[in-house]
Order: sequence, then structure tokens, then C-alpha cells
Amino acid sequence: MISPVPSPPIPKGARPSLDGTTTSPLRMRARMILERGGVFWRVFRQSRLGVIGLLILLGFLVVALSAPALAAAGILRDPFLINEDSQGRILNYLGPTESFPLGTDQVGRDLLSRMWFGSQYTLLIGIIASVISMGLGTSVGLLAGYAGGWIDEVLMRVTDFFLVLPTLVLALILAVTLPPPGVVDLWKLIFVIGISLWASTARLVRSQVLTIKERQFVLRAQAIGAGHGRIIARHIFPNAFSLVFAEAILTIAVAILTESFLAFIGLAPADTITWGNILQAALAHDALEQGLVWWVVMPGLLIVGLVYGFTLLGYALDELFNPRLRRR
Amino acid sequence: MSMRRVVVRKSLNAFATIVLILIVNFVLFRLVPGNPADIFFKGSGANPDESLKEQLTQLFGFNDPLELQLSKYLVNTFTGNWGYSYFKADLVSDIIAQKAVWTVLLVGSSTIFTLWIGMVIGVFSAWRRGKAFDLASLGVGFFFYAMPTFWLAMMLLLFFGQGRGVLLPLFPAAGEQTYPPPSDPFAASIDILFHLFLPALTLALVQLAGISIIMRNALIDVLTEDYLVTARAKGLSDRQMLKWHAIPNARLPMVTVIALNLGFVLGGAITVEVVFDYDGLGLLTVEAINNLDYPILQAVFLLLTISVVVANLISDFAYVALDPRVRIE
Repeated sequence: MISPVPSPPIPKGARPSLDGTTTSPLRMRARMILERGGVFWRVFRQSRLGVIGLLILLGFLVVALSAPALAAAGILRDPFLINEDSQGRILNYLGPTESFPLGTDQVGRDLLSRMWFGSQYTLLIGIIASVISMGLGTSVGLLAGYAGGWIDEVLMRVTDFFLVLPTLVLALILAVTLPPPGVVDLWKLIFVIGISLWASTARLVRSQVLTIKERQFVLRAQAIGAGHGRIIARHIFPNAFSLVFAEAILTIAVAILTESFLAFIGLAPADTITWGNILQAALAHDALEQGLVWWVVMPGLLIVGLVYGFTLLGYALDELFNPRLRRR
Repeated sequence: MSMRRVVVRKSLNAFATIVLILIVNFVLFRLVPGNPADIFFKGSGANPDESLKEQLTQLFGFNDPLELQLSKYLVNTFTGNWGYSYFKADLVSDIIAQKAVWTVLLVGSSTIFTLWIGMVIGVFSAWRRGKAFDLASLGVGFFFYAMPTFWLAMMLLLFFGQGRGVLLPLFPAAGEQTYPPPSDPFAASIDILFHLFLPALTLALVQLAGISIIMRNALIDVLTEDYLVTARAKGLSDRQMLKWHAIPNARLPMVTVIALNLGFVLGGAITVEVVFDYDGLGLLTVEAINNLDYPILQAVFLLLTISVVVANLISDFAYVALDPRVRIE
């Protein structure tokens, strides 16, 4: 649905356009990208679920980006500030009040602003972990599919090993055992999530590469003397990219869920604000028993919303890009 | 491919994977910081005596060369000698056997329940593809899929937990049975089922989307086959056609899905057990993480991963046995 659209030739230098004026190659390229984007948007728009997902994600993006500005304007409180009343008593375990719309946590920090700022960390962890996972999965898949032979065999054995292990259990064990000892900082958390999720991408990319490398344009590139690196980078990877992109979006959703799982077990850095961390604190301090319902309900709803957005968008993109799923 | 060749090849693959798991498990837990003797003392609260510490290090075998440790580890693992817990002063294998019963009950009952409901939903969705029911079940399914399992557990507690449920405070909020258990075996099993309900429902709901979508897609595939046109041509009703010709074939992929799903459910079970204070392997795992009880963690990791590998192997066999088309290739 995307590929059959004829794309303008890649400009090799300034050349006259139809009306006789000269367009710079940069302008040409920009126009090409715009045109392709337009075609994509027209097709994408028809997927109702995908558009809903995109809107949800835009909403979360606005929330995440607006946090510092709102804090600076004094509308949001400092998420790390321990709030006290005028007598200096710590205001912890508050239910929703006028000044704390979602109440406060066990040490008296404003839950609304923690959740608002939490969107930044949650998005960041999800996206970076997904990028790591895609990078690893795509490299392994490209190499295995293109090289074939024993390299393929070895890489696929390793991939199958990771594929068969339960993701959450693997992430948990890695978070416990990997150095530095005893602490899970932000980068270790992201790394652990990324390393737990790459295997299915490697399989997907490999199967794509296996079909792409038999196509004629690869043979032609070989015939005019292109090296392996160039063939992979310029001919094979671009053709597999759209699929990887859809997979990346879906992986962000899984990464966010994995993060909340690890945070809930207590294996996430305590100094970052993620929704999983907030929920963990809620359970550890018996929020439900104390009737502090919003402390538990809101972070969960936020996770559901964000993951839902990424899942819908990823599902819609996958339906567009994945030839296997196209309607018969 | 003959059946025998499939069995041999798949078994060899699974065996290689298990060996790899064992080695990874060994290496990962050698990375772990700290002398086990230190952790042992931390647990007991006693003051570490240097000579006793040395003795313990010797006892746990941490002074041996690495390859000896590895071979000992492999032999011990296969002979069921999984060492002592640092904290519970009990054999790891005994502790795990005790807890595994509850986890198997939880995971098993929720999986059976989801399979049943998920397949029904999948059939209806496929039959009404693109209609309201299909879209709604897809939407609702994704919604549950997007939930962190532990959060759904907390929400169910909020609605149905005894003592604080705001909708129907009917089900016990914690534990796997009443202590002491009722002496009458019937009352005791009712009690266990009652405690099982919310945790199992949580796990069932998060799996539902995966199962029903796969059933839906499999059935949609089957519905395009020629033999269904034949079935219709000879005058079968929709119901007969679905029941006798379409569903049995669409059900085949479920065999694979159960095994693939197992890994996902086991992860979810860990958090569900924490929320409901359900005394299975998950609760044990989290306790072990907090106490740095590495022998327990090592054994749990081994058990969970190997059970998934074995489940995959069994499902591969079952698939080949059930579907003759795979064998002819």
C-alpha cells in the first residue's frame, strides 16, 4: 500500500523542473519526503484505531513536554518537594484536597505533579529501551539473514534462546544479577528492558532480509560492484525499515509495561519518578487500605492509556506495513 | 518429515537450550556481589566471626576453582540438590515444592478459563468480522492487554475485595486459604477456590486478548477455505459448519499459543501473588530479591525457564501429532 506509489527519482544535482526554473536538490528532497508523507497519511488516516492511538500519544506528549513549563509557572508543584503545613507538620497520606488534587504520598509529595512529571520518565524509558532493543534485534536479524550459513545458525540459536525465556522473568533476573551490584540505576533499567525484548525483532528482520536479498535489485547492486555493507545499508535495510518501525512502536508499549513490572517488584531506581514507582509506593504503604484510592487508580490509568496508545498505533502501522497481515 | 525425526530434532534443540539456561544461570549468579557468608550472617543478625565466615565460604564451595563449581552445580541441579536457602534455613527444593503447588493451581486454572472464554470470543469475532462485536472485543482486549497485571489485581481488590470492596466485597483480599484450613475437605476446597478466584481472574483477563485475537485470525483463515463452501453446498447450517468443519481446524494454533503464553503468565503471576499475598513462587521470588536469597532466585529462575522450554517442546509434539499437514512437508 505504500510501496506501489511511484516515488520521484532521487535528485543527483540541481536540475530544471518543468516550468524551467531550477530547484535545489535539498528542496527536491524535502518535497519528496513531504509527498511520501502525504501518501502515507492518506492511507494511515483510514485506520480508525491507528488515528485514535496517535491522538492518545499526542495527548501524553503534551503532558510530558508541558511539565517543566507548568512547574515554572507555579501551576504544578515540585514533584520532589516534601510539603508541610504552616506549623511545619509534614502533609503525608492526604486524600484529594483543593491544593493537592490527587493527594500526597508517604513522605508528603504532591501526587499530581509526580504523575505529571512521571510521564517524562515513563516515555523516556520506554522509547530508549525500544531503540536499544530495535538496534540489537535489527543488527542480529540483518547479519543472520544476509550472511546465512553458520553465522545465521549461531545467531538464531541465541535468538531462540532469548525468545523462549519469559520476558519478565528474564528482565527480573538480569536486574538482580547484573553489575553494578545491588543498585538498579536508570541506565541499567533501560538496558535490562532493551536486552529482554530484542529477540522477536531479530526473527522478524531476518525473515524480511531472506526475501529481500533474493530480489533483483540486490543482484543488480552486486553486479555494479556494491560491497556487502552498502547493499545492507542502502538496499536491504531501507526495505525492512517500515516493519521495524511498527515493531518499535509496539515494543515501546511492552517496554513501558516491563518497566512498571520491575518498578513494582522494587527493581527500579528510587530517585526517578515513574508511574510504576508511584504504584509500588502505594502498595508498600497500603494506600488502598487507607482509602487513598486515587494514588492507586490514576498511575494505573495513565500506564493503560499510554500503552494503549502505542499498541493501537503499532497495530495499525503493522497492518499497513506487514505484507502477511494485509487483507486478502 | 517423519514423526520420529521431528521428535529427535526438537528434543535436541530443547536440550541445548536447557544446557544454555543452566550455564547462563550459573554465570549470572557468579556476577552477584558479596560473599554468600556475609548475606547469611546478615539474615541471622549475628555478628560475623571471621573463622566461621571462612568455614561457611568453604562449605558453600566458593573457594573452589570455577570449573569445579560449574560441574558441581550441573551435577547438583540434575540430582535435585539445589542447596539451602540463605534465609529460610530449609532446603531450596523443599521450599520450592511447597510453593509451586499454589502457582501451578493459579496459572493452570486461569489458563484453562481464558482458553475457554477466549476461544468463544474469538469465534464470535471471526464470524462477525468487522462488525460491532468484533471491534468491541478487539478494543476491550487491547485495553486489558495494556494493563499492568498487578494494577488490574489491585483494581479487582478495590472492587471485590473483602472488607474494602466498593462494588461487591465478596472475595478474600489476601492469602491462598484460611488458616487453619477447615477440617472438612469439601469446605476446605471451597475455601481454596474462593481465595483463588480474584488472582485467577486477574491473570485470565490479561491473557484474554492474546488468545481471542489468535483464535479469531485462525478462524478467519479457515473460513476462506474451499471445503467450507462444500460444507455449505451440501446444506449444513452455519452452526454445524462452524462446529464440525471450521473450529476444529482453527483450534490447532491454540496448542502453540498455550506454551507461548505460559512465559507471559508466569511473569504476571509473580506480581499477582504479591498483590494478593498468595503464597506461591512469585511471592517467594520477591521475598528472595529483598533478602538477597540467591539460591532461591537461582532455582526459581531455572524452574520457570525450563518449564517454559518443556511446555514449548510438548506443544511442538502435540502440533505435529494433531496436524498431519505438518508431517508431509
